[in-house]
Amino acid sequence: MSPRSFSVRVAGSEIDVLSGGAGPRLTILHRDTGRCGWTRLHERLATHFNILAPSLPGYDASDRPDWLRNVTDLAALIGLFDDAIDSEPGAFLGLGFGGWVAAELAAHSPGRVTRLVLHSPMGIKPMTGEIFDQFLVEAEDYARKGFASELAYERECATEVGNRSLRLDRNREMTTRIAWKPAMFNPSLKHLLRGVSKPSLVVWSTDDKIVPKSCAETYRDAIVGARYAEVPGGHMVEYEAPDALADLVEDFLGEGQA
Amino acid sequence: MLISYFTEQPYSAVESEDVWALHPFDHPARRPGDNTLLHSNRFFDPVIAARLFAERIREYEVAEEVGFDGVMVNEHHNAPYCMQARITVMSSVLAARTKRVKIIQLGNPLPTWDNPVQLAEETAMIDMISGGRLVAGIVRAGGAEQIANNVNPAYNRERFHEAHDLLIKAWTVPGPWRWEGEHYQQRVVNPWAIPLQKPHPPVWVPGITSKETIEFAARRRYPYVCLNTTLEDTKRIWSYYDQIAAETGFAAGPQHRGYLVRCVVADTEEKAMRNAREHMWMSGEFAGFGRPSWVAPTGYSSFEARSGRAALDDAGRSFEGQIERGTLVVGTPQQVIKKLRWWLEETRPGLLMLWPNDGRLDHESSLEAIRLTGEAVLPALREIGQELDLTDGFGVSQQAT
Repeated sequence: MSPRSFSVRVAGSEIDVLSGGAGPRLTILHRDTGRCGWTRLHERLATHFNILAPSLPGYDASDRPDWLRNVTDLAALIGLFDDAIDSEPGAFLGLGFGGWVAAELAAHSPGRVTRLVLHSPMGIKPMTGEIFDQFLVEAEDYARKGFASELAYERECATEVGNRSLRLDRNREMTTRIAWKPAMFNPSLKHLLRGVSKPSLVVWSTDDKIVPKSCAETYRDAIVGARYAEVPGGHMVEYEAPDALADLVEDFLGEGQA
Repeated sequence: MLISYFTEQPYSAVESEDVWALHPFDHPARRPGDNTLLHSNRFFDPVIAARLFAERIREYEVAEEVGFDGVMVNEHHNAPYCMQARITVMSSVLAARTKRVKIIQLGNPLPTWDNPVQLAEETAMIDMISGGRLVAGIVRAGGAEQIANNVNPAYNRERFHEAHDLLIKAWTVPGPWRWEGEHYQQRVVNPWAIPLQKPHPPVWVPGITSKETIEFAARRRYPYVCLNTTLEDTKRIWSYYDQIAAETGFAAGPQHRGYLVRCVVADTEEKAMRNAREHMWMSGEFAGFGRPSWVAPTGYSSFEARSGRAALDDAGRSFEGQIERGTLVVGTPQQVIKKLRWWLEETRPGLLMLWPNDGRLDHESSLEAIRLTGEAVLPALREIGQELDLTDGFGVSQQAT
C-alpha cells in the first residue's frame, strides 16, 4: 500500500507525516538518522493499525523550530501534534532515539498513551557500556553502524532517493542541537519513568552496536510492569528484523484490544 | 607594518610517524593516521614538554630581541601540533617575560568559554601586567576544539556573538550589572580587573574564508587576519571586507588586513627547504587532511560550506603545491624578501605574522631561523611596508621613518 503524506502545524511549525492502514492509532517515532520512510515494518503494522509516522521536528521534511533545544521539549511538541491529530490517546512505538522521545512523552503525559513499545531506546545513561558517540564519526559511518549486516545496509542505501549525505547531515544537526550534552540521554528520565502508567514493552536487538543492552534493561526496570523481549539484528530493526518486531508489536498491542 | 612572530608550539618530540598507527588501547572511533583529538596522550611526556616550553618561551624572547613587533599565540586541544592548551596562560607568561612586543592572541576561543566574564578578567590582567601590550583576538575555534571542550557545535556562532558582546561590555561598562542571555547568564558582572588600554585592547579576528566571520569583523572595524590563505582567497576576503566596510561607513585600509604566512628562512636554499618540510609534519595543518566530522562537526557551519571546504583544500596539499601557491614561503633571506614583496604588493596587509619554525625543528635551528628572519628579512620588509604605505593602526610604520 502507498501511505498518504500530509503536514500538521503545531506551535508554529509544520510537521510532515506519512500515514496508512486502518485500525487503532499507532504512532511510530523514528531514529536520529531520520524517518525511515515506509518500510516493511510500517507495511506490516498498517495491516492492523492506523499508522502515523511523523518526521520529528527538525528532521527530514519537518520544520526546525529554532527554540527547540532539548528532547523533553521535542517530546512535548510531539504530544501537541498527537493531540492535534486525535484528542483520544493512542499507542506509540519509538525506535532508538524515537524511543527516548516516546518515553519522555509517556512519562510526562501518560494520558496520551494507551500502550508503549520502545525498541533499543536511547535517553538513559547505560549502567554498562556506552551509547555509541556518533559525533566522532562521519554521519554515513554512523548510519552504517546501525546495521549488523553490511548487505542490509547496502540495500537500505540503494532505496534512498535524493541527496542522502545532505539528509543525514540535516538530521544529525538537529540531534546535535538537542542531544549533544549529555550525550544522547536525559539524567532525569530514569526517575520520571515512574510516571509511565500504561502497559509497556521494551525490545532490544541482540546485535545492536549503537545502544547497549543495559539501556533497554534500565528502561525495563524503571517502568513499572514493563515487559522485555529481544529480536535479532542490529539497531536498524526496521530493515534487519522488521517481521520479528512487527510480530511482537502486534501481539502486545493486540492484548490491549482484546 | 606591524610584523609579528608565530609558532604553533608543536610537541616536536614525536620521533616517528609510527605513533599515528592504530594501537590496542585506541578509542574505537580512531582510525590509523588520526593525529589529533583521539590520538592518545600516552604519547605525551611532560618531562620533555617542560623542556620544550622553556625553549619556546626563550624563542619568543629572541623574537623580541631581533626586532619583531609582536608575538602571536594561540590555543588548541588534544593536538600534538600545538602545546598551548590555554592562550591566556602563555599570554601571561609572555607579559612577564617580554618588554616591548605586542602580545597577540589569535585568538581567544570564545564559544568554548562558559564564563566570558572570567575571560574579560584574565585578559584585563594580561593587559595590565604587560603594560597595555595585549591584542585580544577572538575566534570561533575549530571544529575539533568544540569536541575536545564538549561545546555544542550547532550553537558555535551564537555563543561567539554573545560571548563577544558580553566580553566587550565587561571590559567597558562599569558594574555591577546583570546579563541574561541565550547561552550566558551572569547574576552580577562586576570584574575587579579592567583593561589598561581604552576603551579596550584591540580586537582582531583571524579566520579562513567564512563570510559570516569576515562580515562580523568588518562591521565592528576589527582587523581580519587571514590564516595562510591562498592569494585568490585572500583577495576575495579583502574584497568582501572592503564591501562591508563601505556599507558600514568606513574605508578599510592595510590596518584592517592581517596575514599569517609560513615563512622559512635559512642561509642556504637547501637548508630552508629541509626546515620548511617540517611545516608538513602531521600532514600539515593547512593541508586539509583532518577528519571532516572533526574539522567541521555537523552544525558548526552549513552543509554547503563544509562540503566546499574539503574541495578547496584538495588543490594545495602537496609541499611543492603550497610553495608554488605562495602559502609556504621558503628560501634565503633575499629569496624570501622577493616572495613576500609580491604578497605585500598583491594583498596589502598592515599586520604581518611570520611563522618560521614548526614540526620537529629543534631549538637551535628555530633560534637560527628567528634570528635570521629578524636580522636579514625584517629590515627589508619594513622598507617595503613604508614604500607601499602599509599602515598598521599602531604607528609602527610611522615610527620607522
